[in-house]
Amino acid sequence: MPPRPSGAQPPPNPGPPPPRGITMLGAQQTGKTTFLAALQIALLRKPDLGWSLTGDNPGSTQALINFMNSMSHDHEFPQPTGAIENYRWSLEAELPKAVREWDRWRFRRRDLYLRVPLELMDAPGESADGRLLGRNLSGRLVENLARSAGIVLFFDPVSEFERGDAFVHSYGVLAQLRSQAARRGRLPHHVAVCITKFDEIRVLESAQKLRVVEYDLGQEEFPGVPEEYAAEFFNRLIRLSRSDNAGLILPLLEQTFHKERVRFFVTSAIGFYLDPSVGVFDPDDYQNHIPGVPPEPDRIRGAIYPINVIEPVLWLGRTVARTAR
Amino acid sequence: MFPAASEPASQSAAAADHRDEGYTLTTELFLQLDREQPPDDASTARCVTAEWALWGKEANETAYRVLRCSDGTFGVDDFREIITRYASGVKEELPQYTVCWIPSGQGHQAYLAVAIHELADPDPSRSGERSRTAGGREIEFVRLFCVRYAEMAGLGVSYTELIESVREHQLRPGETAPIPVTLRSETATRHAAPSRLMLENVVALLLTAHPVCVLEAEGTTAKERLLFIEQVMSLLPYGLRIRLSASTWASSTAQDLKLRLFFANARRDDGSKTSYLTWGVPQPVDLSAPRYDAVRLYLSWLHQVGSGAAPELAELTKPLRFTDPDIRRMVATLPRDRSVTETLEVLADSLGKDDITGIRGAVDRLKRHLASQERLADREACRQVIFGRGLLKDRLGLNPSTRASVYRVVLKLAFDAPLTYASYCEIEHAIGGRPGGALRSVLLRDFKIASFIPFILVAKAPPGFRDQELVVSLSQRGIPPTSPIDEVAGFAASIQSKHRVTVCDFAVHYLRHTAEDPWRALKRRGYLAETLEALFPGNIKEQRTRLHEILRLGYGERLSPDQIRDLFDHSGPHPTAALEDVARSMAASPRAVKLIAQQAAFARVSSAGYAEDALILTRGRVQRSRPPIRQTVRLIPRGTIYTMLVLLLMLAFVVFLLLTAAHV
Repeated sequence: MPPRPSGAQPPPNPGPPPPRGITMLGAQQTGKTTFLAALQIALLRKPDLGWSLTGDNPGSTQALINFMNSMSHDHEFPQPTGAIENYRWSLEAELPKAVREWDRWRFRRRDLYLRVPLELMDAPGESADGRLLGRNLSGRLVENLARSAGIVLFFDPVSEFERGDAFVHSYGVLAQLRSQAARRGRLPHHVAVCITKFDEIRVLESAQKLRVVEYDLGQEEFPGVPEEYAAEFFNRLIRLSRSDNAGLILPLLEQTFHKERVRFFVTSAIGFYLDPSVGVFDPDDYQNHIPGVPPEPDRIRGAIYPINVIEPVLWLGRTVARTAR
Repeated sequence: MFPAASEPASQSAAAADHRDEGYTLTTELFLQLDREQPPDDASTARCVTAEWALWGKEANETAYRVLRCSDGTFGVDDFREIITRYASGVKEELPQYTVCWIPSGQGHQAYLAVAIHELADPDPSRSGERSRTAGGREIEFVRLFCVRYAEMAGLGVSYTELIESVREHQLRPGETAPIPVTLRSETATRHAAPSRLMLENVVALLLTAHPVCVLEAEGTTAKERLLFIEQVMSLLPYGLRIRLSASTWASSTAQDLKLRLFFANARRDDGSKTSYLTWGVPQPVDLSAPRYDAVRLYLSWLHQVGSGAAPELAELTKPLRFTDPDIRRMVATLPRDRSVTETLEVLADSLGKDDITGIRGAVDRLKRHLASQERLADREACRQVIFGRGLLKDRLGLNPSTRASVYRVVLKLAFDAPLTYASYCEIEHAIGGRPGGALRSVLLRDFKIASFIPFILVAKAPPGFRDQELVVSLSQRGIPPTSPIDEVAGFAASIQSKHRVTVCDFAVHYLRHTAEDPWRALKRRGYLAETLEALFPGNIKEQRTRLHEILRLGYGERLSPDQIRDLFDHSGPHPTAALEDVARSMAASPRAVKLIAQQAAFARVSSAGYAEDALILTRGRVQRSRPPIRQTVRLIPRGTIYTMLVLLLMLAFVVFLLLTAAHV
């Protein structure tokens, strides 16, 4: 225990070793950090869900603030991750009359407070490959994955079409992970496979051609891919990959994880552009990602309407919380 | 000599203001002073060799990697491991700086390294052919420079010094050789820490072997935070740098930070391994636990030694670790503080041996002593060593910047500021001539000079500024036209004879070229006749030359009778022999020569206190043909006296005749 300045408050609840968390896994530039950064905005966009996000330590709270400022105020994408970042957030909800219980002579319903701790580890995409960022970082990523209960696996169809590195990226890490943590041949993790950047023109057009798009019945009428079609969409997308090995990703996932513990989500961290004066999705003008003309970086065109960002995190969070109990 | 009341009020006020500021050069002359100094000789300049790597990505790449590196001791894999090991996570702004260490092993020695985290410069000529973005995101480049610990310790190189010295090396494609880095000397002591207590707290916490994080320093720049890190390390033995990793910014959510000292915007969730301090908030650290006895002893040594600690610690270059046994060993062998005079003796010895490290160490220590006013009480003892050991003498073997840093501290120890004429004379006496080169440069640049006389003597010392340059410079600084000449006149007798020509000639030159009516100012000062007589007593020739110039300014080549009378106006000062001599030489005729002699004589009578008589004599002579001056006041007219005398004589004759007739 280091000496403290006199009068300084003790550090807030160091507590026992951190609970099993959720690790973000994906090749570089697949949108891991942007996904995390959009989580708070996604929850604020859907107040009817009743969930909110809070930081569990000062650093994580500060990160939430920085993400929010960067994306919603400055219209900038968050800075790429250079080291493994560990965000400790919590999803909290006050669910009205969610619990039915016997009270003396009758059943009563009472409100339920739920808190799902999220320990989210965001690693640079390059860290999966020991040749790129060195053995230290690569080893730490595998250690983190082994400690995690959930994995968010990012698949970016655009970069897969251009680079085709998803299989190479995943295979090395998962092989190492299996050697460390597999029980009876499969890893115990729950995996949310997120097909990202749904807001990109090419991705949306592909989904439309495959007829897997449904339009939200809400006010904005955003398109989306329902979860029941997401795996199929993923399967079709990997056929468009630049790499011949991309077709091996699904079998790799099936071999590595229990099938019932893998779910697919088609997501977009920044969502589609919505003209504020119209307020409805415009199929002729929806691109929210404005590519920068070098040396200027890319920017976000308008307000952020994340798609399927809460769902995988909430599912994994609840699962992890159950596992921890 | 000349009453201030005779000057216009504004000039007097300007002169008074100027006395407070001292004499100084304009920017143009400072630049010229820089050009006069030869660049540091490569053989004597402090130089280290840096191995380097550039981390980042090309515009068309997605993954960070070592883009290029030197082909020295370390290869691509080594550099990658170093950079990723000390990664400090997401940064809110760039640039940021990291300092770290590389242990010895695999056939190489231990190294210290500095890393500059930055975006590529938008100016292509300064970007080192790096792209600012890739895939629409800004690229955080890392320029890493590694220098052998032995080199760093041998020259006492600070982190700030190394980073400033490598800053311009952009690491362009095609470069592969390790870089020779000429170290830039730090000319001024800068302060980043909000208080000494803050520095000592960080030092104490580092010695407890726990990482230290400084919070709420977002208002400072990365450079200031780097300077703070340097200041902290200057209060620890240099040998501990071989185990120090520090960064001007680290993400508080970054996992597994390998930093011992860093700045962040929030506490880390790391099981309270880290100690936290808040920038600018003085908080005493609780070190009462028995296991911190070595730390307490170290802090008490720091307090005891005070400002002299840093130079002493800079010499403790034996590698140390941040471990309890090493800290205890270090505390047991801490050096006692050297006094100022002892340090001056060390400096003299080091200068004698051309020992650059010794000179630098002594100079640094003296700087610390200078910062501590209580240590300057014994100035006379310092002066004895400085003059006795010839510390002001020019050391041509040293490079100019080292010479300048030596002069800077030695002069400040020997003389009070601002520098007076008496102090200047002592400097001349000590070096056996006029101060030139680095000494002159330091006097002009770093010293406030009290008055015109020492200023002009320094400024005109070889190679010397031209008169016109100095006139412009002083004029721009608001020196009144008559201020130099009045100072020369006031102190004429006390100015050393070898300085008189320089100060007198420039003062007259300045007056003639800056005054609105120089002739009037000179006339009011008696054509400087008496000043010149005081400056060059018995030397008529020196006086004549200057007086002739002055008189020519107002009267031309030849003097008319009216000009002669004007020149020797009875209200003026005592006409010196030289003035009469010069006037005679300018006489247009023999009659004019006679008039000059006459007027000079009257002027002398007048200045001797017989002004009234001189006036009478002068007017009587001049107005002889005119009616009597006081005719109207004569009680008995001159004709009446004569008539009465005749009548008296006639009466006496009649009386005589009557008496003779009566007798007969």
